[in-house]
Amino acid sequence: MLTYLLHNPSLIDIVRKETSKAFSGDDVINPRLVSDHDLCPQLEAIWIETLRLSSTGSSVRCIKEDTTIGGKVLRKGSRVLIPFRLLHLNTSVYGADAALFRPARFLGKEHRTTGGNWRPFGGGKTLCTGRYVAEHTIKLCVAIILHRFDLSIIGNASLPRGDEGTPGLGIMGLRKGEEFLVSVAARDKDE
Amino acid sequence: MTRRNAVGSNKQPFAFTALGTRFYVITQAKHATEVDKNMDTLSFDEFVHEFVRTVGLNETSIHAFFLQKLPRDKAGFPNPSGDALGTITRQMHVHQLHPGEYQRILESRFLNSFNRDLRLERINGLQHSNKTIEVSLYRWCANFFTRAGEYAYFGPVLARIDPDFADVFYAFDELSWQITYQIPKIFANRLVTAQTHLHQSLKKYFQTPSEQRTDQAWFTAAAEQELRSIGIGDDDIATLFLTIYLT
Repeated sequence: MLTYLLHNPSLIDIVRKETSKAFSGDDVINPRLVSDHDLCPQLEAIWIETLRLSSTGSSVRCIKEDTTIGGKVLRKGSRVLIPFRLLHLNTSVYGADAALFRPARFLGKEHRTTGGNWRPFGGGKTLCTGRYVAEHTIKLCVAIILHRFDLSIIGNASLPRGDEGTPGLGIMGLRKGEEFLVSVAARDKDE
Repeated sequence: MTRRNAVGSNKQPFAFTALGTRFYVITQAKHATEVDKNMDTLSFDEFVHEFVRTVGLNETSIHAFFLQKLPRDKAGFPNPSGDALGTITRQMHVHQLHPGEYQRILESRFLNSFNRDLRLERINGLQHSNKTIEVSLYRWCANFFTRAGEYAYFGPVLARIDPDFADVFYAFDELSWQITYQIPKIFANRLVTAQTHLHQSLKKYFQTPSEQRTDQAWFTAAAEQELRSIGIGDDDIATLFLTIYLT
């Protein structure tokens, strides 16, 4: 989330403003505010869009008996895979710019799953148990960092490429050599 | 590897074969929903059993944890359906993590760590005279967040036993796909080294008298108690917790 925000800096002050009431000075006084989708819609949209682009997991099942899915018979003894990225980058759902970071596509959306095409936490019996805690704690630490610090990218680092080639259970890591440095300074909140 | 593409204009699942196993790939959300809803002929249990077997759980413990159904009137966490402890443990984790009092307590434990570590003086980077710190964003986030999760579940005791636990866990997490894909251990040295390290530390944690580690998540204490009640020992408790914590 922070990487995308740094490469879309106009969103940083928007998120700061949305989440400002969670703080008094540097102290967090209302942590639950960051998870309120109505009070922090931009933060919510950035969260959904980040997971859409960064998830590398797949749901997988063993086929115990011949099973019909999508009108096709899947044979006993085989496996069925649901790679999240295939759904998340579907241009017929997300448009021609599906591969680009555009959190505004989720603003005003009633259902974040967009008809089942957003599933970074899987589904069914293996729906991630920790999805609520993951959402809240990540949104919270992003809000705290933006509230307490000014961050700037050092050098001319472009948006890093994710390591799409390495399988993962959740969020993709960075390709080798794509790490970048930031300068972190205490933020003057009187500005 | 051979691939047979069965995608036509109706975008049905397509199949490919890898290492002797046929895989069907779902590309449509509505088909994914069909998969999700099928609890009868589609199963995830075999993957879970294989995962913990690869991580080192012995067959006796696999049977006791996943297959041995427990009485409906057992002591401890309610078991109205007479499930095995593996199912009960997931229900306990839901109780900890889903919206409610236990979730809020766990999240406050994360906040304790964020409040402490998200300060300029706590960032481990190159300090400049103008009071800025230069740091890899990726590593900084991995560092403080992994530590926050460790404290949330295990309190300060695990970090005292093993100050490197968070760093080694991060490395283990990055390599954990090798477990899912059953990469032979001879090709997964770094994974095996990290796993062994973490297992030993968790075993020491659970061998520490419980009265010395009361500052931990409800789930950690409750699940440990349930595991011991069916005779699972320190070694396998450490293995199961490593698996649960990872996934």
